[in-house]
Amino acid sequence: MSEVYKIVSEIERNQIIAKIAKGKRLDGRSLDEYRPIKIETGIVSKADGSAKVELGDTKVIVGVKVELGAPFPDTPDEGVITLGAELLPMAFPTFEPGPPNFDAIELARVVDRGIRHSDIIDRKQLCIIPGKKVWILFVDIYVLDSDGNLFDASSMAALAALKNLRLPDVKVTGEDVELIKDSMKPIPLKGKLAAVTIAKVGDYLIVDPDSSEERIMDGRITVAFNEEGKICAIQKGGESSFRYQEIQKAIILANKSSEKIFSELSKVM
Amino acid sequence: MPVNFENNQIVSPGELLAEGDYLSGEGSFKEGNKVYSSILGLAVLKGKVVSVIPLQGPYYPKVGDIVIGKVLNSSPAGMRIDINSLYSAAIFPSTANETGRRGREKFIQFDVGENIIAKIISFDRTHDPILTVDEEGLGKLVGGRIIKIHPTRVPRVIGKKGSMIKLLKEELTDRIKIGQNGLIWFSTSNDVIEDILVAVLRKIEREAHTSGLTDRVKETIKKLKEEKLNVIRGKNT
Amino acid sequence: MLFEEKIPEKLIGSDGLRLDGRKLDELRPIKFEVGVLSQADGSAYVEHGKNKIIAAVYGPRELHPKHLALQDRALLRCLYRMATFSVSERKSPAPSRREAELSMIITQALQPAIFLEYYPRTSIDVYIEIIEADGGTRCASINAASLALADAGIPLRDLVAACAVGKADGQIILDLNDLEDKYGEADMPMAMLYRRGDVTLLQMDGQFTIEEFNKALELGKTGISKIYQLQRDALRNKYLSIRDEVADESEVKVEITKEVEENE
Repeated sequence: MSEVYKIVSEIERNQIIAKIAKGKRLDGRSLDEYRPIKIETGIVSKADGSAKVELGDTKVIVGVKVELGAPFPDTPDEGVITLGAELLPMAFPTFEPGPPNFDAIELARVVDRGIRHSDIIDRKQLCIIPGKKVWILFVDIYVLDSDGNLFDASSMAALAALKNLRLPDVKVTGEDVELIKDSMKPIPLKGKLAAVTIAKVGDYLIVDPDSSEERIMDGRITVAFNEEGKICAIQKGGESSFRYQEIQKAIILANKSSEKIFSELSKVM
Repeated sequence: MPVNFENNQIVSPGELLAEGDYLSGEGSFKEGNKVYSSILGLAVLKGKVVSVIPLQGPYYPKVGDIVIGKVLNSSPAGMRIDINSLYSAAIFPSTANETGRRGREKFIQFDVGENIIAKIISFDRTHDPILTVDEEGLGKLVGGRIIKIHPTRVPRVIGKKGSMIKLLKEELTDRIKIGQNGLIWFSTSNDVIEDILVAVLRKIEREAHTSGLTDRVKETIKKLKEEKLNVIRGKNT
Repeated sequence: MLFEEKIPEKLIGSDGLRLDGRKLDELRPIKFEVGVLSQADGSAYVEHGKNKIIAAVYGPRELHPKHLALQDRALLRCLYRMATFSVSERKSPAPSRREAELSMIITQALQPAIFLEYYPRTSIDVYIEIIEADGGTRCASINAASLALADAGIPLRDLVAACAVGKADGQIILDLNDLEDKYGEADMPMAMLYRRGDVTLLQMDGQFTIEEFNKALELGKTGISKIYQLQRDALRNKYLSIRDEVADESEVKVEITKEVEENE
């Protein structure tokens, strides 16, 4: 099964590269063009926060569940955000059932780093009794349909789900924490985050690769920006190297695309 | 009882199609004297045979079919070919040509990842399909482009008595080869023609279950050519 | 779960209606959508009450590892999974015994419908993901999976439709929601190849007299008949909408079938 997908036909590879050399892609996009984005929030009422993102044919759902728990000993006054990702076997022919593989773990970690280092969430706000009780946020990413660029779609969905998250007010008496009913409020988020993935195909850089492009790409680089345009996280992936100048070009390209993501996120945030 | 449907009616699995003196064809089955649909498709009566033309589903190999494939592995003992089907196919030195005339020394090995157009010369429930490339027009495909459509909709790309493919060849490119397995190879003289051909193939695929398709495709080609090429009306009609 | 759920005193009000306003023999609102995923060979999305479920089918396809292959038919494998956020209390992402059991009984509920003998040595994989659960997920999953199989073009003897029946406040009720499932007196999910009258799933927990059981079985069959019809409509609609669209575009009438036959 997997060899059918791993072995890319010469004609398939060449048709993509030949188009790209002419500044076009098979689906008609230009090299720096992002696919249409659709974001919905609050789609799962049993989740404490949720969102669904469609990026072209790629579909990702993120749900957040919260619990009260103990903080990590080295950050006693901060809440905990735990990110997980599942590449569901329904999403792509080669995705298999089972515990998260390297790809799923990398996906969760890259999304996590973006959120962590963009300072969007002040984890201190999630602290209730320092050293004792904090909010623990489980942010779970489910990839339902994989037509490429899961990093960007998942980052958007995770951020939109956190924006959709509602927590109750708490009343603290000694070490007792009482949750106040009907007091659900969103948590304050500071700005937004946009992760943009650039793929390297031969000597060319393209934005937002789809699954057919990912099959033939030499490498990829994901860059996360906050709204001030600061770089918050980078992940280079793929088996081949990027040239020094290509990295610089990729950052500029990613920065340009981040505007589109910010404007889509603004519609739900 | 007459049949339970109008020709080309969309039916789904388990739907009663006919009762009495009828036979079940493709996409249908018989229980007692009743014929039911087994798939989602278009119900058709021809003589006494009730069948359902599928709209979606895998490519099921058939001896004599021309298919387009991809070489998965290759050795002097034979090659394994992905034919976009539930079974992968094989080419052996002894079967590389249908008659075996030329024998082993003429066996041409293709490289992994190369695309070929080949004919299915044997297949049954217990064995994977076996292919040959030893015929006019078969062999390695070089250059051009391949697109994949639902295999069930290939008949519409060919059209009634080949009318659709004739239209595409006349209007767009004569370098087009259709695999019954849903893969279509083509090469065009320029990018604009390529874009039009892809758009038209997608249209045929999407509207495969509708009537009047050839005429609408003709219109679409004309319109797209005028838009994109400024071709003077009536040049090819 | 942040707040404890309030246990209802009664599940059926003095007006004879259930807590969500339904009559005893009324189904929840149901929405079926077919062909919702781009990569899968067939797919369906179901909203059944607050249940939100996606089912996808891959296959028939070559089976790896090969030693699992059956020489005379395709191997059907169903996998039922729940998202961590689909239920009140966060579900652990690790597979549970419940998911394993449901995967098995869903496989058994679908298997009799499929002409597996057409595709020896292959697998048909059905993946079900519960996005949100609200009672009756196994039945809604079977309804979705059956649609996804038909959408993949896999030959079926019949569609498989499923619905639960049960008992609450001494009354037989159709299509239990989460609360009725938890606090009612009996829950009996069932699935049928409706046209054939074959029951392919039957489970029960709680207590029924034999008379109550017979009444429940009959009510379940009535519910299934309605779902079965909705499934047919959903399948047809996937293609009818395109046909309607082009009908506006062109009035020309050509026999599709002749074209197809003549080049075969």
